[in-house]
Amino acid sequence: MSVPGSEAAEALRRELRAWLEANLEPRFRAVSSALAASADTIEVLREWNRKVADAGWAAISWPAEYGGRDAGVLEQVAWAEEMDRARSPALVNPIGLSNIAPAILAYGTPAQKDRFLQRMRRGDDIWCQGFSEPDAGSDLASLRATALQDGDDFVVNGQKVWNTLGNLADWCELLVRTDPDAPPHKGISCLLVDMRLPGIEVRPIVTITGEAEFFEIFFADVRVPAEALLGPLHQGWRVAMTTLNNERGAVASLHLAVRRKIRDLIERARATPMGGASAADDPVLRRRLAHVYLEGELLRRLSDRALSGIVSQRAGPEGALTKLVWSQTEQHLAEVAAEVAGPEALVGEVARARLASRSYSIAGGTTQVNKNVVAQRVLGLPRSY
Amino acid sequence: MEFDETQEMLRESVRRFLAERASITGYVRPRLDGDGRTDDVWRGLAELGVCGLLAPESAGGGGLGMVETGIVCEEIGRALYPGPFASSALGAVAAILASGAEERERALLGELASGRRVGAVALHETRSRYDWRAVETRARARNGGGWRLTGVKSPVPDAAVADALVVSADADGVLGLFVVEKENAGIEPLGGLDPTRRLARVTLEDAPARRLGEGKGERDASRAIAATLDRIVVGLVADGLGAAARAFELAAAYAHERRQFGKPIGSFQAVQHVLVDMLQDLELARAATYHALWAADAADDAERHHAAAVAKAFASEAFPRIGANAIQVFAGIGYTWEHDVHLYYKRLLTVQHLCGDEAAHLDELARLVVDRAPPA
Repeated sequence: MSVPGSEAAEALRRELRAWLEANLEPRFRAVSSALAASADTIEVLREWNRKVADAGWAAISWPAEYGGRDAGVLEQVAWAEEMDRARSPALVNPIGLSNIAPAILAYGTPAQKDRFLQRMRRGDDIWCQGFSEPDAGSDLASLRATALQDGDDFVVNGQKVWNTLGNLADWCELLVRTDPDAPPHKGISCLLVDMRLPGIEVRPIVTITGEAEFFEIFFADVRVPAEALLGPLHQGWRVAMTTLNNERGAVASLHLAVRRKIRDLIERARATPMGGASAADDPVLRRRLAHVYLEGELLRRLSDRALSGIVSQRAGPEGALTKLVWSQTEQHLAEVAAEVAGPEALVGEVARARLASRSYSIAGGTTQVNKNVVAQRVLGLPRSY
Repeated sequence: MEFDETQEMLRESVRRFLAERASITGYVRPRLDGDGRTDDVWRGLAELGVCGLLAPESAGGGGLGMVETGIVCEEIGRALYPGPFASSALGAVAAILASGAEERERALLGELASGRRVGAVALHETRSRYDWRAVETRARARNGGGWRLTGVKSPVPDAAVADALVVSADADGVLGLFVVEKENAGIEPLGGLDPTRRLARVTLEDAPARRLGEGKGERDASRAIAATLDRIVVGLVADGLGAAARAFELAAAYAHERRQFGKPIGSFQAVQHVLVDMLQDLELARAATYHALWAADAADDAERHHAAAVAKAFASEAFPRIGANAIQVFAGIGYTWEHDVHLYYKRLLTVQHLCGDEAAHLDELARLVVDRAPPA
């Protein structure tokens, strides 16, 4: 029995670890992610992103000609493990790098690749996706935003919703209906839209946590030049699927952040006074902590197996299950964290994290839709929706 | 974690052999009232070489590891085979090796490896629940060499068909592992819910015994017992993995075939989601089991033990759920004796409760990762 690993991945790991030790200053660690960043902290994050990018560490899976390292999946996982180990803040384009760039690399014209990829990698431009709409959530293909051709331009009208980073984005990968008479999947196109164009309005969505975590984008007669089209006209569904399917390396390292949070929770429990001892000494909480620890370990082993399946070209169901397991683990973690905190669970970060955890079984495909997809694609059962 | 070609061939040959020689209808069911004796198929398995996988080459074994042994356990669980493989070829052999008794017990190892004799392992007692350290069975040294054991071990899998028992006992304040020949032990079958895995109570009254690893290495056998138990636990989980996978496959196939309201029941989301929950349980258990098998061969003692605790804690939680969900998918027919699904459920309940249930292994994990800083 073999464990996945490669000489190239270990060499990359050593090189990156040394680079992070030399370059990741404490001030960068103070801000974790662009998703929760204020105007001040986003500049610190961008500075860190540029530093990472200029050393060649920002988009290692990309081809070398666009600043990547042509890294395979084992190297991508080694990269994620080292970034987590060093507690590096996230790069400012999480969606751009892992979701939008694969579509540009697959379908973009040379001009589009030259124009967008380097700036995305350095964080000079921040990208968001305009996919979901108020009436097109799980059923994305029913989207209704339109782009009608008018001379050399598309004229875009409609509303997008749940846009992560919509407040900061310079560019948007936008799905629009270009052929209203075609069946749902056939008449969609993908546009790369400059967010500063006249007629675009971004409004915050205040979520359950009271924060503006997501945004809505309104398009009113926005004139988008023809060169914004990514891939063939009316075939944007295919382009979008490149985006949605290109998350394998990311899936294999989903366990890193949640396992780190679990370790932190156990530490916190040991420091939380309870009945003359600590919360970690309470027999019920001990078992709850052990159980969420167990879930983190299971996710890690599932991810490892998904990864080794990719590397050895064994088609397995692990990848399709990872998101389900990850979301359950995150939610259980938030619940156990609240139990450990006791009355303090109602205030502060534990309270915020508890509320935010509800999104894990919704964002990126609800648990129920996910199960429908697994039933259909993995188990070969009839489509039920 | 991927198996290599030789390991896949081993799986294939055991699966084919059991399908041909020990089918559920033709072999397992007619023996449901038996004591677990399966002499003809056992001889066939021995001829395939699987009884000696774990035994060293010096004793005529294969000198292989838990990965290979686990593959056989998984296939045996899948086939619901009632024979004593896990007790004899895994448990008894592992106990002898962990005790450093390889040389002195070469004869017994050779007989276990060839399948001529059957071993069973008796570590747990009713009053100590799952704590193998709390042993009330006493060993006292006999004048002129040898030992005498007194106590009760229960439940002991496969004791009714064993020729030799490996028994833990308190010897002057430290734990020791001893071999007791069957004629010196009182063995009482317990019946029980799973007719494919026979349990017994073993009563020892001043029973003559020899001590494993006597005069060699540590006097206290705790480490040897812990190492043996981790291997038995992982083998047990692998057995359950095979049974759970088969129960899931049968349920998924039935969801395709069975029609109600003019459609296959597998077209209803409520049924689909039960099957996906089963698949999730199964694949998590599989990932944890294969890692624990690998760790039993290739990792240090700490990771071997940690991986076994992770695998068993989850197996004890998830396997009964997989079995219960399988019955639910079959619905009425799944509740009948006639249908096989209850046999898988019962096998999975055995795996749940032998060698520590979910709570016991969660408490062990808490000792490993809550009481001290968890490993990175």
